[in-house]
Amino acid sequence: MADFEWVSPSAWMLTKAFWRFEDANALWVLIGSVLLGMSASVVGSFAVLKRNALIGDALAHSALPGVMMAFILFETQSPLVVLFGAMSSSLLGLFLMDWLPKNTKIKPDAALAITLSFFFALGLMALSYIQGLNVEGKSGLDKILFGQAAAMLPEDLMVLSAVAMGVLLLITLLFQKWRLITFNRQYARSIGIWVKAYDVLLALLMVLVVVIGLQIVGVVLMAAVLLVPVSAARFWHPQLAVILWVAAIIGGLSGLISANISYIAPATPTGPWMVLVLAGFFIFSFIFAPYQGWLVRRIRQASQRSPLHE
Amino acid sequence: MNDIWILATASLVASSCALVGVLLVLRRLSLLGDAISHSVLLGIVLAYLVMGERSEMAMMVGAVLMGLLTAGLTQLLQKNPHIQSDVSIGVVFTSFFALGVVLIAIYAGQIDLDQECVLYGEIAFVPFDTVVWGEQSLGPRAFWLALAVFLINVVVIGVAFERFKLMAFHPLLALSLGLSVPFWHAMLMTLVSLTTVASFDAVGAILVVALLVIPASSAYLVATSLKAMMGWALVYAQLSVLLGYGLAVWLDSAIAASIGVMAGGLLLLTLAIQQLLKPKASQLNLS
Repeated sequence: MADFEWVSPSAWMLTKAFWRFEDANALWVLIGSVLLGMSASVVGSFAVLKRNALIGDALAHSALPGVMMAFILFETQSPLVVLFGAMSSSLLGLFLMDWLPKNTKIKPDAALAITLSFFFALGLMALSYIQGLNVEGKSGLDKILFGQAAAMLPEDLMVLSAVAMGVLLLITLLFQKWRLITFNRQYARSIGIWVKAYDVLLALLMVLVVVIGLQIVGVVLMAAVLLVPVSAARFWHPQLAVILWVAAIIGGLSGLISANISYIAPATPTGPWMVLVLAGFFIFSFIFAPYQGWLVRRIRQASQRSPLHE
Repeated sequence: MNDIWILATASLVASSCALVGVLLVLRRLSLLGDAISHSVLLGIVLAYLVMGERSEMAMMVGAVLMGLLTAGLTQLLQKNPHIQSDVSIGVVFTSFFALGVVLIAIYAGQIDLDQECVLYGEIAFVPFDTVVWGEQSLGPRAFWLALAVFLINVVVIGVAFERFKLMAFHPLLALSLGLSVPFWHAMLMTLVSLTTVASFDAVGAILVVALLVIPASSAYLVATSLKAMMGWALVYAQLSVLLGYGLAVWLDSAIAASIGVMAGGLLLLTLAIQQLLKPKASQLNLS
């Protein structure tokens, strides 16, 4: 880890340079992070509302061995190969997480923790094995653990942006259906919606978002980008459509801010910064949000206290 | 000799994790265990920054405080009707862990920690950091730390075995019998935090989860009583350490990760055997 000046005048200079878009690569990083933040928050919203908030954590951790295996097999880090490897092992993780509680005594929470830690151990083992190998192009593989947006290539970012836009588009198109399924599965089934297919599709979108997020946010903290924005957004408004918009804005803003930080301090990992920015948004919403924030509820409680009790 | 120290340390760490893990799995707190093992990183980093040097005591205190803070904060957040339990866990531990990683990156020059050792642990280097008493070397520091925590775990769980059992299987009865459930819950969280600190050196912050949850879950599949489950968890943990070490030597891979993989492998093996032995539904109908 290289050292960097924490408070320095050059940070401000770099910020200005960043916003003048002098660096084409930085612009791509910005676009990628914002799109990733938005798509992850929207997809994550449905998982949180289905009371399955930490599924993203397990999916992200299970992507790691796939990336490593893909590298061992094809000895390349080209974005499509990485995407393929990560997706296949994430889906395997999804299957294991689903299968364990249904067929054994193991409870869902333990199944999630087992999947997460087992796949992560596999991935780390493969990574340490690769680092002992004598092959070219292995540097940077460990960057997917904590994310390093500044180190990404424009071609990675183009794939990322395309996938993120596709995910956002699909969610917008099928929003009505998913809303119905999320809030009333039985009714959705009774009017002839193929609920199972939409579930699988949503899981697939989630895997896709997690996988494209690996290089920016990293395996370890991807869960936060999926679950924090919607959790913060729920304090702002009761309606799902509005919640999704607020979540997308929070996710996009945190992507924007962390891309900026990543440009100023390229040696530090991006993922943790993004999570800290999100945590800031969460705390702010928790206290100040107009619908169910702490302040508003306090005021409401105070005004509802009836004079009879005095 | 070095191999023996590494194996002994790993085995103690795995045993501590297995014992505490059993209680976590039974109380369906696996995810809280996951969260605490991540948050402990922040406690360790803060202890480094406050003390300015490596101090086991400060690390312990920092880690336990952070572990309890995580457990407390998640419970506090859950009181809000708009936050589910898994959301509260996810928000708290990711923020703490992120803060820990960022602090490590910012104070890279001052802290003798890096992202590598957060992830892998440094069990291969355990034998080189020894405790010296007078002239004589007493063996690795991490070994003694792991031994101390293991003894604490054994003593606390041994003394309060019946209480933990009651809380695991019948929390409401425990409450009605006048057991101080919050106190014993906090005690369990303290044990988890202590175990995680002791494991941090050896296996890193993240693979602790594998050792906490996987051997205990394997034991859950085969055992029929709490005592037996703890016994089985210890057996699974020791097997994982031995096989994992062998795997690491064979593939020249990270020791801690290989131990985690073997723990998972043993769980899958147990599952496979159970599925094969399970009487088929069709056979049941015939009899």
